[in-house]
Amino acid sequence: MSRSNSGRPSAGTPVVTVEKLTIAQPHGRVLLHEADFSLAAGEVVILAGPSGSGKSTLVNLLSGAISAADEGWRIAGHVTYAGARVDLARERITLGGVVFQNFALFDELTVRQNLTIAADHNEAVGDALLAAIDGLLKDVERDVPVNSCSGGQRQRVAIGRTLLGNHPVLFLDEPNSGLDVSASKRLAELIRSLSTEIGVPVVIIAHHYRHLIDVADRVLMLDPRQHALVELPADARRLERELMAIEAEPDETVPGSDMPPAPARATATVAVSAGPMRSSTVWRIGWTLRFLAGYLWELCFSPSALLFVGLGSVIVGFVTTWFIFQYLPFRDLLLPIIHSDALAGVAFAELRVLAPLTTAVLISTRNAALIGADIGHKVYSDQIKAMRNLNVPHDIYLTGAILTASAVASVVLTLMSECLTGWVAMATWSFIFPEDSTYMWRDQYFQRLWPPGQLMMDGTGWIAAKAIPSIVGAAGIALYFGYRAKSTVVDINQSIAQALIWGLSFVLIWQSVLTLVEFKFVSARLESTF
Amino acid sequence: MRRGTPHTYALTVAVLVISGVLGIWGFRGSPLLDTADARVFARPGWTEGMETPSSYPAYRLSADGTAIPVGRAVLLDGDRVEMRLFPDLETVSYEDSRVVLLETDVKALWALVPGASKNEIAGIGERLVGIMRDRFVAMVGQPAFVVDYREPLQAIVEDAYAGMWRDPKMQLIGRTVREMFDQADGERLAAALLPIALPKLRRAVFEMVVPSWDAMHDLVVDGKLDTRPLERAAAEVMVDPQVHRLMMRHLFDIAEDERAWRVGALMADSFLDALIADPRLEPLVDRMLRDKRFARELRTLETELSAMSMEVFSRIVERNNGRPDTLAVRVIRYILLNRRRLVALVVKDGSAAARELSRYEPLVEIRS
Repeated sequence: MSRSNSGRPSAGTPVVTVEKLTIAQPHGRVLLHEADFSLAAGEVVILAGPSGSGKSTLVNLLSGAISAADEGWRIAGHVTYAGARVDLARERITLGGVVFQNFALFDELTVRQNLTIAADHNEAVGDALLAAIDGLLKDVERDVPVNSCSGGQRQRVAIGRTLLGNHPVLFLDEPNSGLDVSASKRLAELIRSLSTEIGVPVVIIAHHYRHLIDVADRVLMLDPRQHALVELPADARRLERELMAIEAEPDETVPGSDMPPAPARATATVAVSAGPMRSSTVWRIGWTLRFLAGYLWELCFSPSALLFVGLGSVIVGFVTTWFIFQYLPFRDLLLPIIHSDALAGVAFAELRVLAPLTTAVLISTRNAALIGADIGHKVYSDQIKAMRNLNVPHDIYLTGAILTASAVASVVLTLMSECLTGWVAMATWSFIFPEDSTYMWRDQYFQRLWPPGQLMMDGTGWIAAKAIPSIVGAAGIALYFGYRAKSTVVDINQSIAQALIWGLSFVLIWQSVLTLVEFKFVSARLESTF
Repeated sequence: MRRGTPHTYALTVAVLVISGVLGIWGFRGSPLLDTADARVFARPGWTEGMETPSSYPAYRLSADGTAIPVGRAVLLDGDRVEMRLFPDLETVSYEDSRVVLLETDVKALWALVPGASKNEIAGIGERLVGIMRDRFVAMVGQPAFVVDYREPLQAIVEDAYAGMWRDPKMQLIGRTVREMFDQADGERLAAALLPIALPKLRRAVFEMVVPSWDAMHDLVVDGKLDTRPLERAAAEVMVDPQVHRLMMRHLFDIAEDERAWRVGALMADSFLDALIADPRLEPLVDRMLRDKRFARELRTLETELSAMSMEVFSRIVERNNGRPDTLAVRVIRYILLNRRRLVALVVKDGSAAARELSRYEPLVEIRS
């Protein structure tokens, strides 16, 4: 393989070879059957085919979004790059970097952070590529939120970010979708010059190939009739004829004996060794902390979370105390008799049952909606795929950070709720009995819950056992529904609704069961203190 | 995942700080007040065996005897009791008060009853005795009683009384009763009673010993002495209101002695054991209670007893404001539950409560 001065293969040199590639979808439909193709350095290839023919699947396979380890997929074939040969039935590869149709930029990050996160999780790119990326983004402000950029700028940021992933191949998924004619032409020229400059093969998936085919070297067409990848010249008319011919004929099925065998369980362990096709996901402490800080803010410390808990605590502290002491039957007669025990009982109900329950219900509901929306949106907008493609460990930065932030939220917000509930109960009681000492309230309120000389309040472990798993569990449920595949915005809404319903159900069941167990454990001991 | 602005960060910090301060205020008290105003006292020996650390409420008694919570007493290891007064109560201080530790028993319940209520209870007691006496006299005066019940009942009671004194425990009890009588100023009682009783008794003895034909005949022929004058005199002494008052007072003095409760319980136990063991008693009492000839007296007695027991209970539990007293209720509850608990009282020197509780030893402060 001849190489240029920049260390990359010379233009026209084959860099990637795919042999006998067979892909069958989970429901059994065969997309490709023993297809062979190669990609050369610096060439631009149009990947065409009718809708549903498997263009995106092919790109997803070669970019690591799917593999034989994923449930139902049956994949066979080999890929050779830089002298390494990978069995696709046994390994996940990240051969290509993908520029997604909707760009899949990480919208909570700035332009610079979108680029940096890709660079931080992949092998460093050469100076020539860096210069090319700088040229690509010369008119883009780096320190602004990526959402504030124009569509064209966002596309170039996405291309730059993908290039920083340092993959052997660059995939562009419908790059001219939504662009007018002149913009589409400018994009085509940009892709051509970029491909030539950086010397990597560029594969473009396009329905609207008119202006892109002008800069392409050749066309690979997925033919669902033959389940084959047919090479065509870069001729728009020829491609159009072929596609029309395909649409005119019905699909054929591959005989069952030719179907690739279902992968054995061993293939579920995908390769994680180093190498351009076998990326190993690495995590960076800086990014971990950054995502964690973001979710801590969102799920625990943001004013709306504090407001939720604050209002809930006020209601619990006020209502319980007010109604017990104001609306007690035979109040004048009974109050002197039961006042002390009533306060002790109110303390138990408020601090050990109602405050943790209210906090868990309110925060789980709020956070389930936020997590469901956040992760659902990331799945829908291909950000999760982009993270996988860029070797960014979403299971640490998103899942881990969300669960950790939820655990912190459960501790911080429950503690805050306990503080506010206690104080509001005291203030309410003082309002009802203005002449009595608040220290008397404290003495009787905590007489069984926090005896003098004891470091922690009695039952702190029970409170933690109720609050932490219920809030973290609800977050886990929201993550589960959030990560499920989304094809429409309605799917996101449904995942939010399901996260709310199941998350809240889990919280209520967990708290109820644990409270019953708690009562069983403590009732005998408490009874002896009366 | 959104990020906040400086304003939202500041708001968050403010809310967390305020929550923390309110939490400290609610859980530990005002940061502006000294919450560590604790004194350590020597722990009385009689609390030995009680769990440590264990805490009990402390009260002070207002002028009308109402208990007001003022702090907490904590039994500590090393024979110490720590008293913590609520710091926002300016009316209570250790300087002009003493701390008393009480076990929640009947004796403490009685000690907590204000003097005025005790007088009222004494009055109720007098009335009760009078009513019981009247009903009893009305019943025993009926021919039905004399004919059908007097002799068998008398025999049962005499046998039970004799049986009680055969119990070896009564030797000890007799000695204790004598000591109690001495300590309760028995001589003073006797001196007060004698001027009332002696003239009546003297006259009776005189009547009894003055010879008459009938008397001489009974003594010589039947070997009998006519004791009716003496019986009449004793009855007159018993119904004298002055005697009642003196006996009640003396009874309450004895009641404040812990030994009185134990002795009383032992005597009652022995007497009742002997009484109940007698197979003649149950059918006799049953027959008597069903006897329509006594129905009126028994119904009246039952009504009066019920009303008076409620009245006595109210005097023990209620205070001047007409509401049940928290501390009295607490003591009764622990008596009913048969649980050993303590309460501490901070008693102001020279107060009415100090006089009522003078029998309790104050705790001695340990100064470091």
